[in-house]
Amino acid sequence: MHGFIQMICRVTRIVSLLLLTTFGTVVLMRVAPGYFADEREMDTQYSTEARNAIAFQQQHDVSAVRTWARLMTGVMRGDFGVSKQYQIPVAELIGPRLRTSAKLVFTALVSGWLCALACALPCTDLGAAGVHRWMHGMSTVLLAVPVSVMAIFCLQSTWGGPGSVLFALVMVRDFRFFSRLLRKQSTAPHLLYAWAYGASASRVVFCHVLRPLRRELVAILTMSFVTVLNACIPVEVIFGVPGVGQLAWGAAMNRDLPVLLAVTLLMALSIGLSALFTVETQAQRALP
Amino acid sequence: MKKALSLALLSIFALTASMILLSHRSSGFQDREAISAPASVQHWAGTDDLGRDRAARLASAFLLGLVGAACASAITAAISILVGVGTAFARPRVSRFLLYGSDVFLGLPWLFLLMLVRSMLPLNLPSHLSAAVTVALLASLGWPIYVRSLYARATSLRRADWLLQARANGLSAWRIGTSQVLPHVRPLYLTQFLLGIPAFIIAEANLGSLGLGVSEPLVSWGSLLQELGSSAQLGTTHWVYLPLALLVAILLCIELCIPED
Repeated sequence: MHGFIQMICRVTRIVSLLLLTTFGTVVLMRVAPGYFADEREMDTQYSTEARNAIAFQQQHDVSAVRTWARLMTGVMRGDFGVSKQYQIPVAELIGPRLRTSAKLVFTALVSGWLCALACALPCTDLGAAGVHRWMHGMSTVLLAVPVSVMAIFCLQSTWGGPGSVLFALVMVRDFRFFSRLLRKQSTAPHLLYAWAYGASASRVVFCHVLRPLRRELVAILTMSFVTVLNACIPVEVIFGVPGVGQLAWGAAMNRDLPVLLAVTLLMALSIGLSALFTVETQAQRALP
Repeated sequence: MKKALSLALLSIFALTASMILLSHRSSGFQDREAISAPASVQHWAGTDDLGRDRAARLASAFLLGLVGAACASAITAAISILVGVGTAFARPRVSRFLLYGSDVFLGLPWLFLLMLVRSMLPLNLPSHLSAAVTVALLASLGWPIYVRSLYARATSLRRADWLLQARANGLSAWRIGTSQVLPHVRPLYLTQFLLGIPAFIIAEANLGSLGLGVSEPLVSWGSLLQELGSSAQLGTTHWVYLPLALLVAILLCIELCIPED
């Protein structure tokens, strides 16, 4: 019963996150200068009746609450509306782009996370202080470079691509967390017993170092997912990758509310689900 | 030792930047005789494609970036203290609601929101207003990160004997908060203030390099780093890399000033 109530609370949190984010997006769009201006009203090729119809349609969007309610009702029916910029259904726009972005994000996330873990493991040897200092220094320098600058560099030098930039971002951030965690874990007394009993290095690493830290490792994966999701927008824009991030950027610049709302919903849902997954995994581990 | 060296280096940078700006070098002045010029006595780090002195622009960006990030970090720390400590001492329902609200806020995709809000603003926003708006945006989205740790600390203080004694002696809630609780959470919010500065500098640089940061004629790290996007500039001179090198050096110095624990 307690678990069921907890699950309800978590789902409620995700739903409220979605509602808050989408409502905030609608309000922002409404107060943005130029929202009610339609360039077609200034186009003399349109007849007076057509221009009046456009102006009448704009009046329907006066109330933010009504606009939000109308859009959310459409979303619940599976209708995300029609893009103002491209004049095609939003679902058709997002589908193929979602596949591109998902592939980019998940490849960078998983490879960066694994690579960071692999780089942090040698640093657990307290005798390898030199290695640890060198890698820590490199990661500090790379962390100081903004992701958009890294993307511009890769683009200009034709070295690497969007995946490399996101991979580097994840690897560098996660390395800092992993090295700290693993160094702390490596001083645990039970490891000395394991070594004294002749356990192999792989057994010590997997059973006695990594296994007790699995909750933290999953939590770091979730944080990295949010980081990559945020970073994929400037990266896609700079590299011209036809993903959801580039679509969001274009929609923000062109005040395309239906597309913006759909992308915001998608982002908030992804972040909410990743947090839910982390909490669920930790809760399951905590159960006897 | 490292901390002292970093602080000394930062002070040297700040002094040098101030001297450059006070020596009548304007960051906005365009020397049309020296477009994309190399380093010289007149222009210590050369000029950009509009003939603007790069050293003066760097100095301006450094000071504006540091002051802006420090202000944003201070506002963030203030909001998180208010919410974190207030939540610890509020009634259970109110504190659950506030924590829930901060968690919901934490779940928002903040860079996307930053870009969204900034792109909603008019393109012809005056530069000083765009700087203020950027600082306000960064501050308004950065506060939930620190609320939980402040809340945890304040909760442990709430049960302390000396606090109960202060209450029993009739001290008002405000007095207890300011004179008894705040000094105990000071190491926490000072660290968070220092952690926020490099984070906000990078966030502004990310926004600015996409054209959404502080608008011209004010100079920011983002607008300086936009030069790196021009292949023509990269081929002409190596001085275009100076803003990036300086940014990395400054962030490293700030990072070394932050206590490790």
